[in-house]
Amino acid sequence: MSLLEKFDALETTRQELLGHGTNPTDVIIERVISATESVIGGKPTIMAGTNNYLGLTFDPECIAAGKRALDESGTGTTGSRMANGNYASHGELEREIADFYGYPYAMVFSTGYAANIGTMAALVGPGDAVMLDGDAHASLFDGSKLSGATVYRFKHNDAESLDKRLRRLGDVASRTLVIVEGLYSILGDRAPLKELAEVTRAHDACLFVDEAHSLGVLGETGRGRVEEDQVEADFVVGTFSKSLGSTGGFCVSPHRALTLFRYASRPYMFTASPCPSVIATTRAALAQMRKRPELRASLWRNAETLYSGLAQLGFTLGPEPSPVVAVRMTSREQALANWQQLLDNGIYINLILPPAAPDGTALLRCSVSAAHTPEQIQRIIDAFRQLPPDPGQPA
Amino acid sequence: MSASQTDIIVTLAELLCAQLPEPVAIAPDTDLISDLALESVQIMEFIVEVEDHYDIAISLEALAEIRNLDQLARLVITALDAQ
Repeated sequence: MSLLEKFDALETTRQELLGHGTNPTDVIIERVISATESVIGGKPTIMAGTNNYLGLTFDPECIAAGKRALDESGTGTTGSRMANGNYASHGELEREIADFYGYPYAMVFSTGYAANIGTMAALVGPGDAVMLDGDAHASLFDGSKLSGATVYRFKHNDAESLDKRLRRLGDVASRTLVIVEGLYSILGDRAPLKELAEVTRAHDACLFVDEAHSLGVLGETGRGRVEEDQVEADFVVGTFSKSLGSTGGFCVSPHRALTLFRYASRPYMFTASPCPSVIATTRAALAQMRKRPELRASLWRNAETLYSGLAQLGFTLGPEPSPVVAVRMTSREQALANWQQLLDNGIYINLILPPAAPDGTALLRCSVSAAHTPEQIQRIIDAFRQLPPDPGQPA
Repeated sequence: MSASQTDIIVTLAELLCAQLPEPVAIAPDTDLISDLALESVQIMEFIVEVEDHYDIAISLEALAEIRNLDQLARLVITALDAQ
C-alpha cells in the first residue's frame, strides 16, 4: 500500500535513535512529584524541560479551583462553544484575559495550537499574504497553510528584511499579516518588537504576536514582549499551557472584528470547548500570576544563574539569558549521548535535532521554572559539568 | 536554455555555495534535497539570499515545487518579469 511507504523513513529514523540506546520522544513520566520533579525510569528526576515557567501546576489555589469546578460542572462540556459547550466560565476567562492585556476583545480556544491556526485562518485567506519570521513555530506555518493566503518568510528578527519584503508585495502589503513571536521557543531570544511593529505600520500591514513563551515571563506585569517593548499589536495570541500550567489558548485584540471570528474560525467552531476544571485552574493561575510578581523575579533569578553557570563551563548558548537556555552541540550524536547522560543523572531537558533547530544544529534545550530551588539549578549545572569534553571545541 | 537563465543559474550556484560549509559541484539539475542533502532550514536561508539578490518575493507555495537550480531560475525569471 503506497500510502504507507512514507512511514518507512520515519521508522528508519526511530530505529537510528534506538541504536543510540535512547528515544527522547518515548520518555515516560511515571509519577509527578512537584512542579519541578518527576519519577522517570524509576528514579526522581529534576524537570528542566517543561515550560512550567511560573511553577503553578501544583499551586494549592489552582488545584482547589479545579476540584470545585469538577464537583460543580462535571468533567467536560461535550460540545463546542457554538453549540452546547458555551459555559459562563468561558466568557469570564475571556473578560479576565482581555482585562489583563487592557484590550477590549478576547477569545479562548481549546489549545494554544488552535488559537494560532484559528486566529490566522479566520483573519487571512486567498488573495491575502502572511509574512512569517524565519524561526516561527510550526503552528504558525500550519495556520498560514490552513488560511489559503500566500506565505512569505523574512529573516529572523530582522526588521530590514521585513521592510524589503513588504515593499516587494506592493498593494498586497496592506492585506498582509506579519507574524512574530515575543520570545522564541528554541533559542530563547526576544523579538525586536518595536522595530518590527514600526515597519508593519509603515506598510499598513497587520501585526500578530505569539506570546506563548513570554506570557508571565516578560514585561513588568507579565503581559509579554508587547508590554516590555510598549507595542500595541493587532492580535496577541498565547497559550495557557506554559506559565499558567493548564491547557488552552487565547487571542486578544483592540479590533472589534475579533468578536466575529467566532463565526469564521473553524478550529474554534468545530472542536469541544475547554473542560470547566481547565478553565477554573487557568483563571486561578492568571489571578496568581497577577498578584505574585515575585514568581517572575524567581524565574529570572534562576534563568540567569543557569545561563551564567553553563556559560562559565564553556558551553555555547543561545544569544541572551532567558528562561529558555539552549546549549549548542557539535553533532547529532553528541547531542543524543549528552541528553541520555543527563537523564541518567536525573536531569530531564529537551533534545532538539535538525531540522527543528533554527540554524540546523543540534541543541540541548533547558527551560527554567520559578519553582526550581537554587539546589536544583546547581544540580543541573553540575550534571552539564560532568558531560564529556566536546571534540568540536578547543580545550 | 536562454542566456539569461544560464546566468541566473550561475549566480544561484554562487549564492548557494557561499552558504555551504565546503564547496560542492552543483549542476542545473542537481537535486537540492536528495543530492546535496540540504536541510529545509538551509534551503529557506538560501531562498532569502536569492530574494534579496534579485529584489523579488518567492512564496513558500511556489518554492514547494522547486527541486533544483534550473527550476529555481525559471521561478526567478517569472518573478522578475512580473515586476
